[in-house]
Amino acid sequence: MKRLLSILCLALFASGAWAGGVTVSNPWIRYLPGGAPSAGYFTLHNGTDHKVRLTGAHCDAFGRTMLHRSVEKDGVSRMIHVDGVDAAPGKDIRFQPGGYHVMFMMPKHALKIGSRMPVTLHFADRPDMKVEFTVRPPSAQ
Amino acid sequence: MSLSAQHRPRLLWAAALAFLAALALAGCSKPAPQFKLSDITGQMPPLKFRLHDASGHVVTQDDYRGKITLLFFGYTHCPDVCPTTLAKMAQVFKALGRKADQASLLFVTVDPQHDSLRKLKTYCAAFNPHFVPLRAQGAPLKALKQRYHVYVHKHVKPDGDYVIDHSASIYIFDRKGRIRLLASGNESVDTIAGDLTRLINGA
Repeated sequence: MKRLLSILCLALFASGAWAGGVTVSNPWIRYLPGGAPSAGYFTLHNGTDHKVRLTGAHCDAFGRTMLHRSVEKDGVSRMIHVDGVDAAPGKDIRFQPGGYHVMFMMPKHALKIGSRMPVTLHFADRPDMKVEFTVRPPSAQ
Repeated sequence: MSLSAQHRPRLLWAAALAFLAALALAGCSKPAPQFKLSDITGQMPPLKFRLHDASGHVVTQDDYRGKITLLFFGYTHCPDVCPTTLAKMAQVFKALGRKADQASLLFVTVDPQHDSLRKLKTYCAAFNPHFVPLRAQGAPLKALKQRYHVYVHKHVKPDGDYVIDHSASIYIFDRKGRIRLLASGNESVDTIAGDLTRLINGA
């Protein structure tokens, strides 16, 4: 049983990050050539009994990082800057292509596909959380 | 006058014959192709443009006659919607296999001030070899946007950064340059690949 628990814990840590009841799974960033801004995606699960508000992100490899949301209406896509995204207790917030995303701008160097990039997530009412984003190719979905 | 028991079977036969005749007529006319994407055949003008390719050469619709042509408007400074759509279309072209040679996706930049030909070439090549970057400034781009009712609106932030709201649909033309389908980036790879295969096969 102990062994099973340690394997489970290991699996949890290997697939994402865990901090005080908040977990982040499948964090990845789309590599784009030529210094183009890239989007980062992940699923954040709020396992606590109170609301969690994500307010921003930071990555040393980029000059600027922002939280954005793409919305499509009547065939027109728009990108909206968001100050924060709330996760209700027990709920997920999904950062995924065509929706919420972390916009990583002004890359300081070219990213290597397959590498991992340390990103710090900022919250309104809890400590920062460090997450490693996997760099995936342009055509990743 | 009420129908006698003798007349009733005759009427039934007449109704049955009329039904069969209607079925036969329906069978004779060629059914319209069943597309899953929005079929907009005849609702927009045929493919026509005059733009520069990555080598700086002028290209027009005539260079794509005989191919299924997909037209998409975007810009390289777009972090989410454009790469997401191109990533999906890369999967679609992969799913087409050898038939992909009979289709081209034209990526027309709506941000020619920022998107140089060199930048566009590297960007498109990162997704799929069938994606063709095209660029124009001023009147030719304006004409193309008007022709296909493409909405583009640039928002510049106080710090100089900007975002561009833009039409995110993909316009699909047949081998003769006639408009046929409109695809949203939200459609599945199977749906888009299926309809493109129908067009490639002559639908």
